[in-house]
Amino acid sequence: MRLAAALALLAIVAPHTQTREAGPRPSGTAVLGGRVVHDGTAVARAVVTLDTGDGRADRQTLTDDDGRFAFERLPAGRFLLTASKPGWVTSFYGSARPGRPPGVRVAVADAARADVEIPILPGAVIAGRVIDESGRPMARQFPWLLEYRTIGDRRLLTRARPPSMVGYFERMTDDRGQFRLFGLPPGTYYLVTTPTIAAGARIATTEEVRWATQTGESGIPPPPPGAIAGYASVFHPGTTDPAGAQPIVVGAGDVREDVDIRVGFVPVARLTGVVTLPDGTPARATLTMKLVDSPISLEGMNRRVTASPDGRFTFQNVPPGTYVLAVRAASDSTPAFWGEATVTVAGQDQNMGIALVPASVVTGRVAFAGTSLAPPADLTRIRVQLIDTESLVSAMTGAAGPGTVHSGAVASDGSFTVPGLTPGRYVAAATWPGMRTGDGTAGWWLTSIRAGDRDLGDAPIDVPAGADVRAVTLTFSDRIGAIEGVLVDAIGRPAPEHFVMAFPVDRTSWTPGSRRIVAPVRPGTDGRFRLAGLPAGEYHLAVVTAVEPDDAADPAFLEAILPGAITVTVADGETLRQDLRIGR
Amino acid sequence: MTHCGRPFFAVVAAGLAIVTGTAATGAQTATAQGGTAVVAGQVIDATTGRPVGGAVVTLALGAPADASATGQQPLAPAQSRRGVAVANSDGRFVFRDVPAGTFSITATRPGFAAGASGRRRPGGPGRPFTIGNGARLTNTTISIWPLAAIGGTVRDDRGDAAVGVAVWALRRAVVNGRLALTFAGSVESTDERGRYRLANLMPGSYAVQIRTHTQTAAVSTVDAWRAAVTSGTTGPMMGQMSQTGGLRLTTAGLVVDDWQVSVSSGMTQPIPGPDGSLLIHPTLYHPSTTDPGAAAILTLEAGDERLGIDLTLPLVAGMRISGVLEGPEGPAPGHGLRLYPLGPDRLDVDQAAAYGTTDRAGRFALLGVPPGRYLLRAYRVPMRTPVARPVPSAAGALPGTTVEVLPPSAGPSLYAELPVAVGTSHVDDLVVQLQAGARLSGHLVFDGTTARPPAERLQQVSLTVYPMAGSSPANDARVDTEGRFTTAGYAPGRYTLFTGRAPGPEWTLASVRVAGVDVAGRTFTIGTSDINDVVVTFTDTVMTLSGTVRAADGGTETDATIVAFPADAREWIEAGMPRGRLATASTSSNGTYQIRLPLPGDYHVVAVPLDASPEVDPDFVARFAPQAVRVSFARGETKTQPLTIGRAR
Repeated sequence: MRLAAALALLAIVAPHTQTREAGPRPSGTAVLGGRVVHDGTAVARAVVTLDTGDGRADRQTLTDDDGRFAFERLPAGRFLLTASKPGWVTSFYGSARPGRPPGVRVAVADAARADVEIPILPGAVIAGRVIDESGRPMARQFPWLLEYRTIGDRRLLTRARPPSMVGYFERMTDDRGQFRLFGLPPGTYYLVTTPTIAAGARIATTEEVRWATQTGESGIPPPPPGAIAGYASVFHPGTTDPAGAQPIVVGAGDVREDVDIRVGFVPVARLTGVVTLPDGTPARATLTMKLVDSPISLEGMNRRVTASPDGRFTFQNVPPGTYVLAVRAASDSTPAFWGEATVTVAGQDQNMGIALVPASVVTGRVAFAGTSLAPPADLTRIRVQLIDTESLVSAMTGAAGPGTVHSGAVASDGSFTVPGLTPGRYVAAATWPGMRTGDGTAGWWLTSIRAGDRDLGDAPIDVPAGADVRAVTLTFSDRIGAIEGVLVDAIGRPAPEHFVMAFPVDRTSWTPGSRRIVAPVRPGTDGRFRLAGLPAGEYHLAVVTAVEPDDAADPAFLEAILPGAITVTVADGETLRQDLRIGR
Repeated sequence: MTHCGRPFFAVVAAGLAIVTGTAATGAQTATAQGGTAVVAGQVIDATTGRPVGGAVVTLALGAPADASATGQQPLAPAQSRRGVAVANSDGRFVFRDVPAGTFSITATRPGFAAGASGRRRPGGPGRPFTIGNGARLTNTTISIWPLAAIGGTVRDDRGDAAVGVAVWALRRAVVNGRLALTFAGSVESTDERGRYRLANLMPGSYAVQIRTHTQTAAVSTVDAWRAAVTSGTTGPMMGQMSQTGGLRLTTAGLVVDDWQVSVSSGMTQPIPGPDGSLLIHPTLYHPSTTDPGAAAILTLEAGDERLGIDLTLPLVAGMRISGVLEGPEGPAPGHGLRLYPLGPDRLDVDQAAAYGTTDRAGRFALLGVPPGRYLLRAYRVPMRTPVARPVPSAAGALPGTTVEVLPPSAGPSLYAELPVAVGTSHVDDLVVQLQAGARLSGHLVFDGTTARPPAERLQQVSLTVYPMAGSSPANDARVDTEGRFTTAGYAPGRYTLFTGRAPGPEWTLASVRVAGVDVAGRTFTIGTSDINDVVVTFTDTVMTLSGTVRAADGGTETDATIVAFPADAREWIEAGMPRGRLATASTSSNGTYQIRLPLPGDYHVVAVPLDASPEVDPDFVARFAPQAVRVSFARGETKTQPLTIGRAR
């Protein structure tokens, strides 16, 4: 489910990579070579990967003892290069920040040789121990690295994005409680771990041990039982409050070996209850529990249980906090129902009743406005997906929990139904196998969403309380707009060190998930750039010196760059040619 | 995360929640069981005798579940749990208000093999105990065992730290009667200093390994795979790979001529060498050998820490093996191939040195193969799609319940095997021919007074033909409503046949006749032609042996494992110790035992003390056969036999 959510989002925010039928590989007379270096010194046995950009598998080679590499017999083209080595930060050639894409494409002509130098940084190391309150090592725990991201108007603690899997993703603590995360890009990190323990475990107290072991005094009343043991997520150095998490700042090659997490028990509670349908009968519902106002957007943070046939549910080991319970019930024979409840827990068990109300349904049809491609033969393979804008953020941080994406089947006549929707605003997407096969010339794009006879543009679909939304038409086109051109500096040289951005003139489209927000691109070494996957409309075109992927949907960022932007109009399916020159 | 965007619903939501009360204690806690007994004790480290604080201690009804092979303890089911406690810093725990009954206690802490009441060795059996009303059992001691660790540094041929390299602890064990190095659930990567630490090892004997296997496919094949990944249409290629044992293709790799070669994560990258060769770090065992038979074996007790287990990876020239794979209808495209080292006879390591996939013309290449002797293998099993079949209500299921079953094999299974020796040059232009494997067919016979099982019960019977040397994938055959079966096809070799599921609790396997010879619990040879007259007989009679176990001092022994193994032990070991003529049981609390013998024949029966491992391997047979009692069983016989506890050493 998480993967599905991530893929669905990809379909919305980024154009698919391009592919072609795998015929024989073109070969030519171009050579792309160079060196991988650190501080001017050769880095041997680094893996250099060449992405041809034509949808074929990437080619790899290793650097020699002088750090040199070469890809020979290439057709003329524009290639992305990355250099990686275990323990080092994967380097995207030409990227603005170490370890982070995008890189710059290197243009090579026939019979020409391009030589590039790829700097690569030694990775930083964050190491330490996970220990309990008594200082005992905690083996087999998973410390996770986090970082802050700004998504839309929210600042969130999210899983740090690995540029390479080696050493970077979470590693289990060993028998001494030690962990060591290496190969890290320079940056500011936070560290969290979430231990688990069997539900209902009571901590033995000194008083009860004395009471139990003093034989012959069985008439003495027992002391009160110990507290239930439970854990919350704990941040370095040992706080359950994300605001108290201590940042860990590392530069290239820095080694921090004292980053311990001290884990203590927290007072936990059991949350039980009954879910009922509007007619009072028990509902076999699924419940998702989410911390309210938490700055953490992490996979696994939202817990989910299923109520038993008598409508009863139990959440065990709930740490203190205020939670919202999102409840859904659905079956084949009855319409879907939903409910929501807010509850504050502070170590006391709680029992609650939750009454459900009918959920909404979005129905409609898919339509195809093809000019060269025939619509897919089997429409039932299409999945229509609705993601509510509240959940979009967790989908974007990779933290999407179950229920984030509402999926509906398409019938052979193109009609679809997405059931089980709570009131809210939803972004629509659709995928099917083989949806895209090309880089802007082959495949289908969702270009228009209409509700009845109203064109929604980029606005999400509004689902009101207690009502369904009908006659939604999702229209796919096999033509999609693009802007391409050459970026040069004030004296006419290619300017690959900059980014080119296109964003819609209409400010209501400045939201995460908008079809008109596309990722910024870097021009190649020849200054050529291409922004693909643009639905028809008016766009601002801007050149910026630095941008993070998240900035593309950040209204504050877009406002700031607006004064330097020009305005262009992309017609339906048009590839607009627009060269750019940077002024002084 | 707030409700600002939809305040109306926040209000409704608050109204929906009716908090009906709070409860300070729940059912699954260490108290409030309504009983009057007290059970208290201490968790100790078995190697030091010191208390272990923070251990999680569980009191549950009945006998403790067996620990896993890695010493972990499955949590008792919620309905049998009567308390969970966290031991205090002195390792002490208390369960109070315990009702009368039979209970077990288990104790776990990460980094330790789990303890249980009555457990005397890591991974050994535990025992329940009984308490009455008002009892105070306050001196229970539960031992837990610190797991062992192996650590060291890995360097490459240049003397640089080998970073991100997977280091495996392989456990020395007996598989099919042969010494083998098997996966022990323990693999760790080296860090940026080249250091590794394999913690959480159960006591045992281990070899330390770093492995490399290459995977080669045509550039045109990986390009097609990349296109399929991008457009979400990998299904057909995935199906073909799973039918032919192919590895999943990768979308990036080293290109050598028309081939792409890659390695799995945790392996070092091949380096392009002269003339199509690849320089690779071959699979290596500590201290410094590519021969698994020469690997150093580290024997670890609980809590042992073995450091300085360093390895230096040599660089060797790996050559190319290439050719074409032919099937019955011509070249076989998109087909997986595997190259297995022909290891020393004394040790079995079931790991391929190279994997390949044929291109559209059936051509294959395996790049980066180090010098050595190999067996090149390919196979194809027919695609079988599970079908839902209703469960008869006679089986106790609710009406309408269905179960997914694999239909009987359709179509022939194909296999190819070719020995290949690689030296310092490439081995090209091989023609590898896929052939149809021999199939077994026959029928079931029911010999007894109970009525023959109905057709739907017959369909639940599964027959497994298991290779003793790993040349064909093990494959289940299903039985039809008439009690007939046909297996998949198998490559020539030695096999054993066993039944996975009997047609009912009253039926047990009595004999398997192949060409008139009973091979139940034995091995038999499959050649190149089909075998059509297999008769599998079930009986409704049982053979049991019972009696009392005496301790060495003449008293009653309550802590023993009874093991029955074939009296013709040497022949049995040489055949690969096929299961089917092996049985174990435990003594009861009054020192009696009852063991059910699986097949007629002569057995050695021995009472193994609790502190000895009852794992039956050639060492076990050598140690206990002289102490065993020999008992012969014909079908349906019941016998009694007193036993004396055996000596572990």
